Amino acid sequence: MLSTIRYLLNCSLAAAVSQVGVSHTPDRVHGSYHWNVERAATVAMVPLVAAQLTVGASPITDALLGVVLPIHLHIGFDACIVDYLPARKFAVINKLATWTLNLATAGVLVGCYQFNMHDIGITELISRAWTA
Amino acid sequence: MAAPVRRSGLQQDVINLYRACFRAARQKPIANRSHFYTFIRQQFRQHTLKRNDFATIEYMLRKGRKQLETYSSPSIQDVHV
Amino acid sequence: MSVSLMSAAAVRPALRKHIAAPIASYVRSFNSSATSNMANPAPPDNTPAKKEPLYKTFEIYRWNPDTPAEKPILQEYKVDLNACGPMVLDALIKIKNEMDPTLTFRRSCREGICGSCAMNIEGGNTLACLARIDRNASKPLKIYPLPNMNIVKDLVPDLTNFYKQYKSIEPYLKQKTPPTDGKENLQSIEDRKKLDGLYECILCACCSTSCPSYWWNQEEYLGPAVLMQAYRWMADSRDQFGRERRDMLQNQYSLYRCHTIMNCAKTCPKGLNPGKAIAQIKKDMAFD
Repeated sequence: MLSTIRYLLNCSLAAAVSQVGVSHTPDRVHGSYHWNVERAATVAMVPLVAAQLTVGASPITDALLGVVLPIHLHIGFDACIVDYLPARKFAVINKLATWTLNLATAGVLVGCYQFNMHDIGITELISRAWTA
Repeated sequence: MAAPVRRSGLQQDVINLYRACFRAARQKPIANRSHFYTFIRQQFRQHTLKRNDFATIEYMLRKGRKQLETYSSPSIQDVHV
Repeated sequence: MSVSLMSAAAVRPALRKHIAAPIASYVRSFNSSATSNMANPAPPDNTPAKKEPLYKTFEIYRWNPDTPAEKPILQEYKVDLNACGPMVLDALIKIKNEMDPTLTFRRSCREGICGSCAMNIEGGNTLACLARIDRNASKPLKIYPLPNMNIVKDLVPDLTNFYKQYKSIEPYLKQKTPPTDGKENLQSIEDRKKLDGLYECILCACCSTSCPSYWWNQEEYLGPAVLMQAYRWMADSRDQFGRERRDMLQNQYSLYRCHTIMNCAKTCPKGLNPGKAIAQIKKDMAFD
């Protein structure tokens, strides 16, 4: 009983005192795997964009770009949320922003797929917008 | 029963710290506890702050937490004001 | 026994004599103004002509914790550069000695090895003892404490969190198997070379406090200085916990808040490159 009280007391003391040194349990999904995907998406963009510039519109590069580009953007915006709206400081806004981003990325992925399948495709759109 | 008082996060932080201070003081030898009580009250009342002077209140909170971290150590037995 | 005692007693007065003379000269020269610095015994015809005073304005951040409700101010001091040493720290010491003893700052070695006098001078984090004063007296020189840190007083930042983070990476040798001969940890010259550019860090916190990622997330992101020291122990051939050290960084914040902004390498007063060390950690972790 006494030890429980001591423990609870220590917990509340720790909560009042410790404002620094947040520790994390190791989690590769948020650590190195995340970073690897981020780099892979960035590196994959180089040949894709180069192919578009040299070869022109092709259904393969369009389809791949329709996946890689949204992932690249998603990771970029997600980094902004983690940096500027951390759950530590903005619990509600952080959740809201993260879910808005997830929904938006899902929407963009579907949109890119539809646009590549049933319309002119991303590359063609850009080239037309460029010359328009 | 009256409705619970709605406090801002900062107000709640100050109250939490105040209570944590007294809880820490209650771990001290009985003879010296009143010294700690006097010290804590004095620390909390030494400045008259405006309610919306957030920067200063946050500074005082940081300072108070640091002091609490120091005197909540069991090796600290007494305090002199 | 008694012989050795005797000899020690015989040596001591001689030693004392030898030490006493230089100390006396240090004491004499321990004055901030340059004129008295030059007061070593030289014949009077050799004394340089006294220069015209050159007054430069120093604008220094002041904040007193005893009156916490008062906002911080920039206080102006006019310092005669011709009666002052060449570095910003010389000017600060002169101001503290001769104009305003309440001015508060950390300093110790005055030669860039202790890392105490890290502050924001002319918009860049550096050591006051390594920063030359711009002789152009028309422009004021602005001095602030390290940015985005909690201030203890005037130019003294609260580095508690910084030191706690340093402690959290366990900056000491850790081994699973003791050295083969039971005495020393031997290291080849090549392995020792891997630590160059890492071990020189003096933990002045200039780099960490110049990093925007550290400004926004210093509660969780370790910052360049601490990460470079983390890598210093991962790169050490004698340390056997590299994998575990890297595993500790496997989360969103501790390491991966580095976005290669490279302010750290730009500002480091010792010319080190924490950004490169962090990139090495990221690379090693990608292949772990």
